[in-house]
Amino acid sequence: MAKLLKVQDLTISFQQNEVVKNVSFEVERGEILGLVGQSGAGKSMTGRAIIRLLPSSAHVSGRIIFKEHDLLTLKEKEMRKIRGKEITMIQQDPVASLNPAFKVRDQITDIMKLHLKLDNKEAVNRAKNLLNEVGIPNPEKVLLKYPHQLSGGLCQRVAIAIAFACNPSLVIADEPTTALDVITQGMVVNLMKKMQQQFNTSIIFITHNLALAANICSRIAVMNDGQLLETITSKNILTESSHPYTRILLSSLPTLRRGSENT
Amino acid sequence: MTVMEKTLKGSLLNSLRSKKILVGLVIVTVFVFTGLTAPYIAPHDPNKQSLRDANLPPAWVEGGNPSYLMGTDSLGRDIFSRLLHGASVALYVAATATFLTGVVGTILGIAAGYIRGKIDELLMRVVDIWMSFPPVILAIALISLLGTGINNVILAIAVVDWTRFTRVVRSEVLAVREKDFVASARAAGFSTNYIIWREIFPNILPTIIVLATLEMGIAVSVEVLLSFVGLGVKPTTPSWGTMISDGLSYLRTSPTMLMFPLLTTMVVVLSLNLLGDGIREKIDPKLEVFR
Repeated sequence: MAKLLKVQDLTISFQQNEVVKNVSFEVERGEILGLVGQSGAGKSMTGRAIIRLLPSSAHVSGRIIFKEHDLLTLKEKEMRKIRGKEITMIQQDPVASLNPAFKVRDQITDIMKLHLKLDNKEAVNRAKNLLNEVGIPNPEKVLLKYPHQLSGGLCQRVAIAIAFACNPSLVIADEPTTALDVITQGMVVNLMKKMQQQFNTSIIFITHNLALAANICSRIAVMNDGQLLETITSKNILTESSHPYTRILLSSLPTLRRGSENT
Repeated sequence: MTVMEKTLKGSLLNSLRSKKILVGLVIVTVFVFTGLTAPYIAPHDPNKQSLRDANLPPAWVEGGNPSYLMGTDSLGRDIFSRLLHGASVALYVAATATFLTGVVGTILGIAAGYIRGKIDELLMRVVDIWMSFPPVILAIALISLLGTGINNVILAIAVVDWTRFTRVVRSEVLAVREKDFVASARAAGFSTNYIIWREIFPNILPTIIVLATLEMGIAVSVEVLLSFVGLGVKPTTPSWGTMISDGLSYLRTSPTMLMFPLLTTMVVVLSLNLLGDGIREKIDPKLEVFR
């Protein structure tokens, strides 16, 4: 498979403080790569560096090769053409990531009008289909709702629909399930897997939940303290993982076994 | 919950349950209606003098003339008609001054809050300096520079008061620009222009509406004040301020000449403030606890 994204020696620092140190990894076409680690490991920073949405005070070095472009050298105007069309982002809090002032319809069609140059009617039709795809039973109704009238799970489905609206090659999902309850989490994860297969999109799935990552991702990159410790195939995570930190992450997973808190 | 969600959730009917909004809205509606229709509903020409009928008391007092409801002034002009025409002047000043102040203040506030950096620093220091002047003194100084007249009054209000909008709008923009949906919009590749007008502006609009309502109250009182000291509208224009200053000389003999315009000003300014305050309470989540 061809490489879609190559991150080489990515270093992000704020003043003298390095929050991401020499991180290198690759994402293949149609692959889900998990980026796992505890809070403050630099996962989100890495994700945001790829789509170039770090605060202006951040100092970024290294290379991020996406298709044939080095994203770090692109001008802001060229970057805007890639954002939303080639690379999109799904955020943690689904309700907060939608604009409270506009109906779902406006938010989902605006991005299609911008990148796909659709007219209003085409965009609304496409929006209906997309909402169907993400498993919203009555798209016409939901299109006319404001975000605060929808549940968290529904909002995340809408956010996923927006992220996949322009057939992106790469979706950066920044803890998309953390703000949801367990059952909704499962639905959202399955949905992302389904969308990924259907659109043949690559996903960088950022999470602190190793079990979830092992479930959805083909490979998992483990990060801690700004460094990428190891990249392993998720099938073999129990046998292959060699790094002690991965072992700690694995052993910290809660199980339903009785008395496990004592062991 | 953001300000916008509060606004969308509070339906119109629901907001009428607030007594402040209800009372404010009723009086302000009467004020606006009167201001717009004064030439058609006023019983007399506001500038028509009739010295035979000078200094008449209100119609219901002994010696009053039924055709002059609130009596006449020292030149025999109908006080009721002048009050109605005064509402036109007050409304015109309030609406245009608020619009001008709001547009200028909001644009500068968005510039400071969104672009940040040196522009923000510079604007905020100018605002600090501006606000250290007593507003009325500044207005009087400006009028003496520009000359009297209704349009100069409007200009003076805008020049003095833009800082009120700039400060508040800036702080609102600072809060909204960090929200997730703004990051989403940037991640979707939208331009700065789109982000400012579609993502940020609609979410600070409720605050701007509150500021504008309160600003109208200020504009009315500043116009009355400037006209009172003779620096406002031309003396022939019927304004509540000139009526109050005319009435002052006849305070002993016919106190109603002063009372009516003074009360009208008070009620209008008070109800504009009530309305603004009521809307603010409706949409400010922080105040919810105290209601």
